[in-house]
Amino acid sequence: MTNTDAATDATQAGGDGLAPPVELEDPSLTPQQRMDMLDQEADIAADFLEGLLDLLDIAGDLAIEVQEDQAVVNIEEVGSGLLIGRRGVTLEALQELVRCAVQRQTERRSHVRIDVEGYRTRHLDKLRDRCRDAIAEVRESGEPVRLEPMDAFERKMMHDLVAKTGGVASSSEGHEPKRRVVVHPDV
Amino acid sequence: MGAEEASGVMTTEVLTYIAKALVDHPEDVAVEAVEDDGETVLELRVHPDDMGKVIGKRGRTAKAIRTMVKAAATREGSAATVEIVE
Repeated sequence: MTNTDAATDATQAGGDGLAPPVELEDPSLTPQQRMDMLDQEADIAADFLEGLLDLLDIAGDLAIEVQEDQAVVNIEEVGSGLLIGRRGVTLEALQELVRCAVQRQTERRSHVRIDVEGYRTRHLDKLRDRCRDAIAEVRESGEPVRLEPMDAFERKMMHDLVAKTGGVASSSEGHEPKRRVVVHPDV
Repeated sequence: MGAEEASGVMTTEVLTYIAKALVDHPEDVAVEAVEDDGETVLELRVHPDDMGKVIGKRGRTAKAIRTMVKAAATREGSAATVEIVE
């Protein structure tokens, strides 16, 4: 799994006589420590984004929200679709760059999610709607239904949705970035 | 200000900024704008140890860099492509 690889890399890279970086998922961490780590990630992301917005001469306020297992940085009041791009490709690129910038500094996996004017939140709502349709279809036909390719976070949301529904189960298939959730009858 | 003059300023700055944020040796990041058949090619050079950082798994990071630079080019009304040079 890619994530495990990245974690191992980060641990090995964490030399300099310091303790190896601990991943956010480490069960020995207190909620406060976890919060501090997410704060740190959000700060790095916000610094990176502010510099980038400056260079692009784009306005924008950054709203940071630290949740239980991730930090969300929403760029608001942008007044331009430039950061979203066609079907969200630029936003996707922005997310990848932030992930890399955060990981380089913290040497652990990034848990920052970037959004622009709530675009991804709205997109996620659409994906949930389609997932509900798929669930209904699976129940009727008894045949598995493949959802469209999604990123890891979106897939997790779909799995959560399926798990809350009786009579269906879900799995993932394919490789990134074409990895997708499959909804099938629960037997 | 002519189109040629405008082309590449924002894109070069954006590319340099992004690259520096991703590598362990920011002082070794260099971007050079080269004209090729009327199109600007931004040549990105980084420290040899940082090549993996700007390319990423299956070229994922390089793709993201290109997409972001393309957005910057749109913003300034220029066209630029990125080439990562070893």
